[in-house]
Amino acid sequence: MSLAEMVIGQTAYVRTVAHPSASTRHRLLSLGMVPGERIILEQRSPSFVIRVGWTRIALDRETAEQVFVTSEGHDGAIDTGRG
Amino acid sequence: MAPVSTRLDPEIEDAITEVAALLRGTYRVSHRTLAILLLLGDEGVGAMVHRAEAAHHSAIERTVAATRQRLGRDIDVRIQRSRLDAARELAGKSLSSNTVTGRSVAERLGQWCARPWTGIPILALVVSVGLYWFVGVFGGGTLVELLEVQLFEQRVNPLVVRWTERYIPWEPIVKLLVGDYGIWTLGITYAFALILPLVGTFFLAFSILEDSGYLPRLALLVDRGFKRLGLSGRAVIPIVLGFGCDTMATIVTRILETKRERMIATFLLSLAIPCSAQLGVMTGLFAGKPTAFSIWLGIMGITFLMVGWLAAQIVPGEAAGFVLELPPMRWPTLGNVLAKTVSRMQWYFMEVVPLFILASVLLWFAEIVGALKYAVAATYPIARMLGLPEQAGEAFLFGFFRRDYGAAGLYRMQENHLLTGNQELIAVVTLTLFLPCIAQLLVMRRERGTKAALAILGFIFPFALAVGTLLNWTLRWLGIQL
Repeated sequence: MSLAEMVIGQTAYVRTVAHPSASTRHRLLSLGMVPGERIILEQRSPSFVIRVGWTRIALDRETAEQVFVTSEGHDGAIDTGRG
Repeated sequence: MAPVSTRLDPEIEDAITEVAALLRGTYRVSHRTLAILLLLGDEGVGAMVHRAEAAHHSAIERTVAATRQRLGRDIDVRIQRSRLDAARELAGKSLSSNTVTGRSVAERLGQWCARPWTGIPILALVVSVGLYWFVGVFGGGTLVELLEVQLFEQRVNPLVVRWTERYIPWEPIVKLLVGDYGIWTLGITYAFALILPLVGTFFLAFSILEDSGYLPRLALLVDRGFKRLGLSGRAVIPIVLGFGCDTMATIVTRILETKRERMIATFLLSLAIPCSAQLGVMTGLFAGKPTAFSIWLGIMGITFLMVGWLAAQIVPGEAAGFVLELPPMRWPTLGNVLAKTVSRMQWYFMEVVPLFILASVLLWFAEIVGALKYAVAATYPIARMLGLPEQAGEAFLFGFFRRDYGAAGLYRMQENHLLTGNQELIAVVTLTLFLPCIAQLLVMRRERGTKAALAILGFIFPFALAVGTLLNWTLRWLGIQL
């Protein structure tokens, strides 16, 4: 599922960051949105707010739809397979 | 502390060594860092290396491309994962954390700022206390009165004029220094008595907001609305800064991600965002006239939204995405706030005072050779078109040197009862929309190129006159007397 489908308070693990723009993808990665990381959704509107580690990130719906998450952790495993 | 270098996985380390070995040029960062950025596909670094490695850039580019292909699409994920693990290890060794039950006040405040129902009232509070009261009333009113009227006009300037007239026998030089457009009487007086308190209070307020962690939350709040104008929430930072100084804000548009967004923001800054110097004088002009002020505010708001929306339809390029880190809300430290304010003001004065002096010299020269008369006369038809007395044209002409010169010119006309309420409104609306000041124009050209700067001017000039004329007709047609 995509980050945009999460509900407030839900915890999930990043699976892939599939954003078409290389710079946005890099920004997300460098803020810690790396596959395997645990994220918590805090807010959905007017923008999405998530917490990853000690970092809090705001992102728009279009970007949230390009981040895929899974409900089970896989401890740092890298998944570049199907989004 | 010694820098920490992260060891990446061996396959990537080999690739980095291979690319770094090909780099010959001297750069401000290490070859290893450049190699990593090249492997990550950073376009800016790619272009820099292309320029610096004139003879063999194609060999480097071939190697980078082949390596990227060999390592696969997830090279950035692997590099980032190694960095994250290293950072976590370092943090684990050096940080300890207390388990806090419940949410802290700062955390709650952060959430209130980022949610529409609470965030919009907070924004209204910030604008009214920070911008209107602190910058407009205190900076533009109390401090300007103290410095401009009581210090410069009543004490310093009469002395300077007397001494200059006594010791310099040559009339044109006296005029250059202390005449109507003199370096001292116009340039220096304006810079220190009018601009210093306005810009100083604005930069102080801005630094407090910046250090509190409020601005990213404001960006989050407005992102969706700004998307309709072809901007992302990040653009709120240069736009807010524009209320202090549009010139500085134009430089700050560099933080925006796409070329399209930078172009739209530059355009809107030069059209619809009045700077603190203008705002200060306008607050004075509109004092005790809430109707005129509301009409002005309405026209500016509608212009910002409509022209922004149109620009978003016309300006080509990809739409801006929005990803922003939200730092924790913090109580700003006085030392940091003051240091930032002082360094911004230093920058401002280095940029602006020479232009003030240049403006004075140009006006003086134009007056000496008699060109000023003609230039002023050329503005009369414009003033007539707007239904204004001819002197108002002069204000528009000076408005180009500094937008606040223009506004201050109008202020003087109001003091002498030369303007009716309607004329005042028309003049202020036209002047706010009108050409940016000379400093902003120069920066706009430097940042966006000559063609874009000319295109922006080509729109603004007729647009400002059209809005002013239309307002004149509408007020007359509706029989409104302000």
